[in-house]
Amino acid sequence: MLNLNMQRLVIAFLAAGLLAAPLAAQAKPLRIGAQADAGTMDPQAQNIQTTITLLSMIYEPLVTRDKSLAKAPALAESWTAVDPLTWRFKLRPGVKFHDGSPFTAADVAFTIARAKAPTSQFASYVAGTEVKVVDDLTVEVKTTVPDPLIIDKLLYVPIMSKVWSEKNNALQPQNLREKQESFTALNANGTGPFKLTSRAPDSKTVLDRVPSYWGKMDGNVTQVIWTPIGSDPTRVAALLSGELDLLVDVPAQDVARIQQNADIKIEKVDEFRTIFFGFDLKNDSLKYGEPGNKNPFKDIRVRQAINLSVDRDSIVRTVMRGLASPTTQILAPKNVGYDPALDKVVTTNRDQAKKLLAEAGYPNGFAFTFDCPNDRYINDEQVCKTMATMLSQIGLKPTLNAMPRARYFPKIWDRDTSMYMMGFNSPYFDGMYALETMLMSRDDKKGEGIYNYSNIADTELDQAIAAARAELDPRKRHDMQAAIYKKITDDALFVSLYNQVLVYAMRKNVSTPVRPDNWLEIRWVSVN
Amino acid sequence: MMSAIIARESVIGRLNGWLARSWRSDFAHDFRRSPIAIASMAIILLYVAAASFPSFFAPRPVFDLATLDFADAFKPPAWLAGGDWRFLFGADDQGRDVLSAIIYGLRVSLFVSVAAVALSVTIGVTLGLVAGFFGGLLDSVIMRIADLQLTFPAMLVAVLVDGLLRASVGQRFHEEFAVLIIIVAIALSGWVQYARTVRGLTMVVATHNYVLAARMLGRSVPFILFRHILPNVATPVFVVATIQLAVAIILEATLSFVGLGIPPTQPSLGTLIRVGNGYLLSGEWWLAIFPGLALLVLVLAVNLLGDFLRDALNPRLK
Repeated sequence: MLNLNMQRLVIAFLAAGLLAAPLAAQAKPLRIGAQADAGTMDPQAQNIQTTITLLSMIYEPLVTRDKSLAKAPALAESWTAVDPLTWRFKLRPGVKFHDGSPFTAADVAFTIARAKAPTSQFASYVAGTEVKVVDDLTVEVKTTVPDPLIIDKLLYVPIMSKVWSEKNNALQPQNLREKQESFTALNANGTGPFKLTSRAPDSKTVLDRVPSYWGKMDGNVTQVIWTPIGSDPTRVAALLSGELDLLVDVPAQDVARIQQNADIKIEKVDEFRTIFFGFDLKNDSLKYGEPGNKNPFKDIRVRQAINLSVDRDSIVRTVMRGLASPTTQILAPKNVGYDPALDKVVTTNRDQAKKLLAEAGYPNGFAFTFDCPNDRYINDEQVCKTMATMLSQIGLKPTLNAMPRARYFPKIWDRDTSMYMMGFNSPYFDGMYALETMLMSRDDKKGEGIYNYSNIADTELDQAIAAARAELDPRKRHDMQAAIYKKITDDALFVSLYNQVLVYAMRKNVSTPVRPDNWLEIRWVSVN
Repeated sequence: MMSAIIARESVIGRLNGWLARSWRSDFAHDFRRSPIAIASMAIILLYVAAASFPSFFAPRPVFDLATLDFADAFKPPAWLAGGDWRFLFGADDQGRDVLSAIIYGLRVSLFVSVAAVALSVTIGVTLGLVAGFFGGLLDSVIMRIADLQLTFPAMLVAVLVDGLLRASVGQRFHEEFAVLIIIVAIALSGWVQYARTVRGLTMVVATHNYVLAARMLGRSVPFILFRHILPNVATPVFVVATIQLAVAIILEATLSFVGLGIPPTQPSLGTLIRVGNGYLLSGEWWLAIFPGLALLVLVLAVNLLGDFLRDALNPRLK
């Protein structure tokens, strides 16, 4: 009798154990460290990859990418071209936002309209489109001219709930440039696999798995703990000591040290991001420089001199520890419009540079201040320090003004700069976006020239870009874009340094693909 | 002519007499017999000399970027493989000599901390004299403010003052005023020590007969405070100031280390350590360790000297 009781007890314990074991195994938190926080929880307020990545765990677009980076259905089950100007999207039925409201065509129309607002940073993706709600689960997106990239662009427009936005007075994207505080700065309501559980800007953001998520998760992460740590050594130390599972921006100088740790592995990919410098090409006098000076950067010889002063190999060797490839153009390889012929590295030639400066009327150089972020790109401040040294060596008198991204981007958005650092990653692997947003004359409504921080205003260039944009034949479009990029390089509109190598470091039990656009896809991350 | 010579001789004579008396004094006697005090003093003198004439002591230029060569970047200290005797303590990411950077950094660190201590002595001693001499409401107000401030750590007060001053100066001019801002921030965080010390002593000294006599003679209050009372309360202030100097050096380094202090364009020791800290994991340890050691030795020397002064100048310990 006693024996029987014992047996029951043992069985009960075993059963409890069997039940408990999978429960315990199910909790898979992923602690991610990054050099800076996502600036907002509003999916249309900040076009910075960090913000896009974090919000893509909460919000979803109509179309996403699969592991081969081909377009794949997300909130749209399918899409077809009705005519050259119209795409019809069949929306996924039964999808719910995290607040429980159903996802419908009205949300798509609302989101795209919201993305066109003046405070939106995603206006260029939806400029000129018209959305027609056909029925609850069908929408048509019309463009004014045939746009071969419209589907790719919609990848960057995650869908918000119309009802939720109206209820919470979030009809306009947060105006980060005016430092506006809004409901959407701290709250989110998407359809994605994770919902926002807690948000402490610049310190910690916690996302939890939504059990009722409609889609498929290749990975098994149940919770994301996002911790921005500005200091490079502190961030790396946090990974080494086991406080973090994944670093998405490993400082180049620490890669060798991290590799020695048996618990950590490193994943690398050539990122589609080029680091370069731009100049104020509009104002007649130099805003940040010797008073009364005319703007030397408008003279092509000055820009060429700067181009010749840059010792790209040294920057790559000392600051980037080999984790970058020198370049002289502003588009990374494997993008549409990339021409390898333009990537012949310029040999540093300080004498020639000084000669050009003298010809331009600056035999003794000139003083100016240039702006850099110190928490946006890998080793950005060190690169700028090195740049200052190199510019000094051809007789210029540069002053470096380095600041956090939260101050940097509003400043250069206001075109309040004489020379600035930029790292550009043309989305959807096509150089058109960079041309449209950085080189066309500024027109916020059309989304053109929004990142034209140099204030380039060249009608011929505008026309050439518009013509390439309208070209439907991929081959021809590629050639047209390549020709424009050649002109940019020939005119030395920018001084390019290198293409970054993207390095992720993670604990041995974490696995994730590393995308060249630095978009961490949480559905693919596994923790074992 | 004659009188000038006599005057000069009498000055020299008085100086000689003063030196002779100083040499025979208890204080000098104690000093001569304390190897720690002598060593500390020697180190401090060396630091002060290096900071005063950096271009003489520093082997290489630091601020002229045009003289740097990227081939020298990250050279290790001279005695290690790959080292170069032109760079005794190695070179940084720009190929800048670390030893030279330390010497120029020392100049900023010492200037800031000495100026900050001088300012906080001025504020603290004045308030202490006033509070102790007048008493009453004035005393209560001053000392309650002091008590209140003592409940915050000096670091917190300095960060607060620094933040307020930066905000009022504006981001654009911050760099120009950075040194001034940090001096004021450190000074305002340290005045309480002097005020409390001086106040207590003043209350005692103010009852002495020579002070009463001066008051009866109708001497003005400032004259009595600075002529009669101050000299009699100055010795402890001197001791506190020496110890506070070490605190100010550390405070400046800490503020600069967390990025609130001196900007990298005119680096202090703290700024150098902050910049070097970024390379600790990547193997270029010399960028942080040598400025750190320089700071350690300086603060240790100042502290030991302060300890010596406290013992030597305190008659009760005799």
